Amino acid sequence: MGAYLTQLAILGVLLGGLYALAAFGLSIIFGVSRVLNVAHGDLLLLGALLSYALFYGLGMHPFLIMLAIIPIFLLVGFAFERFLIRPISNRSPHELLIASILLTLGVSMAVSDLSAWLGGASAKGIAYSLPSISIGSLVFPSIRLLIMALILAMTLVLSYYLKSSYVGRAMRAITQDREGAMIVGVNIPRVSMITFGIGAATAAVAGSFYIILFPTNPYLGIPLTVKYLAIIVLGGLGSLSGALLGGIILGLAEQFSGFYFGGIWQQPVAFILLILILLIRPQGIFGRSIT
Amino acid sequence: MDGRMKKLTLVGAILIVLYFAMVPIISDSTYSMSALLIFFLYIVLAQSYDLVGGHLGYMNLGHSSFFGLGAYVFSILSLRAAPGSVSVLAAVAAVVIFSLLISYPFFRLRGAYFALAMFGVILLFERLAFNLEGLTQGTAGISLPLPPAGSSAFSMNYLVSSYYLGLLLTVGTLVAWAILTNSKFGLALHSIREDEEVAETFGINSYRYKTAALALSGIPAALMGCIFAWSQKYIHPESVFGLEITLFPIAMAMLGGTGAIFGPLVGAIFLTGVEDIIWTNVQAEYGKLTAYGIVLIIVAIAMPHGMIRTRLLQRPLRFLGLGWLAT
Repeated sequence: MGAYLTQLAILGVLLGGLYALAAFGLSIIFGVSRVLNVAHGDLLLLGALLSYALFYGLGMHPFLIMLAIIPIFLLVGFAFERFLIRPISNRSPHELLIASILLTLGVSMAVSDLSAWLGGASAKGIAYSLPSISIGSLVFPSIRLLIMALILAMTLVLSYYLKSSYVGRAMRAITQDREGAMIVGVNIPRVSMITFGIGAATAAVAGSFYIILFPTNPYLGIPLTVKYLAIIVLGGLGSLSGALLGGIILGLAEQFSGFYFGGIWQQPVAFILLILILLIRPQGIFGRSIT
Repeated sequence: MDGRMKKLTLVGAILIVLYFAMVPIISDSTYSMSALLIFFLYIVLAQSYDLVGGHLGYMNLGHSSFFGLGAYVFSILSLRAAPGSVSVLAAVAAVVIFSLLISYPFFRLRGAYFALAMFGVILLFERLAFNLEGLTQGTAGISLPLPPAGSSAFSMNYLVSSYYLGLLLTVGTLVAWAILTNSKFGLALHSIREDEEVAETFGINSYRYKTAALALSGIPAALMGCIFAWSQKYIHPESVFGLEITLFPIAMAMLGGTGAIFGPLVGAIFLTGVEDIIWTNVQAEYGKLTAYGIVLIIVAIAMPHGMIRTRLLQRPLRFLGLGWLAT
């Protein structure tokens, strides 16, 4: 029993890491450009489908695909910001929120429909696995461990970049005080564009992991976006470690509720957590108060 | 605007309603009736969403949870052979009680946080409808029994009767909303939307108004849920809590222009029209949602205040003496 629970905890943490990687992009996008990107789960979907095409079309190694995906989706993110978000970015906060939800909802619908059209509506997966490692009575699925290690590496690189680079400091400045950042000469449109690039690239990489671990169908975009929203609300907006912690909490909660109450109760956990956290601590468990 | 124009407009509105009332008589095509019923459904949901989403300024992404809750309470009771009137009353009561229960905790949140929490509510409801199989029959959905032969003409022709009930509800909602939003109550909602703190200083008990608005907005949605369940004779978690029913009415209200009676109406007419054109002309299995999505993108970029506030629509509306319903 104890071993089984430990096993569940490990799976939960590994699942949470995958959630966190994509959720972080949503979080910085909301922080920097105040856009609630409903299409974020669909960026993950696109990343997953592109890796599927590269894996079966060109026979690339699943972990090399990741390297190909990062530059492609940086450009996708840049284009997304430049052509869709920039035209609405000057509106008042309330109008921007409404327009951004409408717009990204439109993108999300178009993406899932087009990908169902081009690739079929059935669930897909990449058949790639590694032998599991067992230590005593514990079994570690090594593919998940490897993915978790890659996610941790990416998180470290990203957090170093965001801490030390000019763009990273500008992002935090904009999140904290938009007008103040403008006054000291931060080029908000450009930083916003880079933010979308990073957000899209992290989501797409998460997608290329996702399709190795789970069956992926064209309609999972919006449900995933809601999961990520629950995570960033849990961890507080705009914080990388908050997203990681929020993701792990959600992953653990899903694994344990699935174990104790049956698999059908895994899905609602994210929504219950989202509502509870918003009601009890709107600023997130670890977040500071946001006005 | 002079009185004559207003009278003409009123006569025009009555003629339009009469035309819709004639539809089942002049054509007995079930297609047009069920299509128009869906059209009524979108108008009622978009309009009732707008009381909280537009007039009060709290984007309620979970508005359709009232619709789905109404549909489920109605169906569950009907399945246990409760009379129709009891099931409808219970559905409305359930929605009102639910909205009163959630209003205190949820209205402490603002902006995107309120929207997200309500979105969480509807997703949770969908899951509950799937999982609580004893009550909702889960993925199988609830099939309502067809009326037995020899029952009253009203229940035999359930498509015609639900068409008329839908029309009645639509007209009733539009009239009630026009009166409500141009009353002192509406003024209070608008002042809360503009600045809640200032409204409080002027003696408006914002919590009470917000609660009332949420409960009121739930009533037409709950009634529409009953009509929907009664006309379809079958409900499923995805058909009443799914993403389409959650997001389309809100997209319609935002597209037409929030905070004015004509906004959700124009949005519903436009999007249902677009949908119909796409549905009938695009034969492929896919491509429809894409077209719908592209319409949303164009509207979000090109019409920041909704269609009714574009110059193209403002002029004729003013000319008809309807400017007061569209600003």
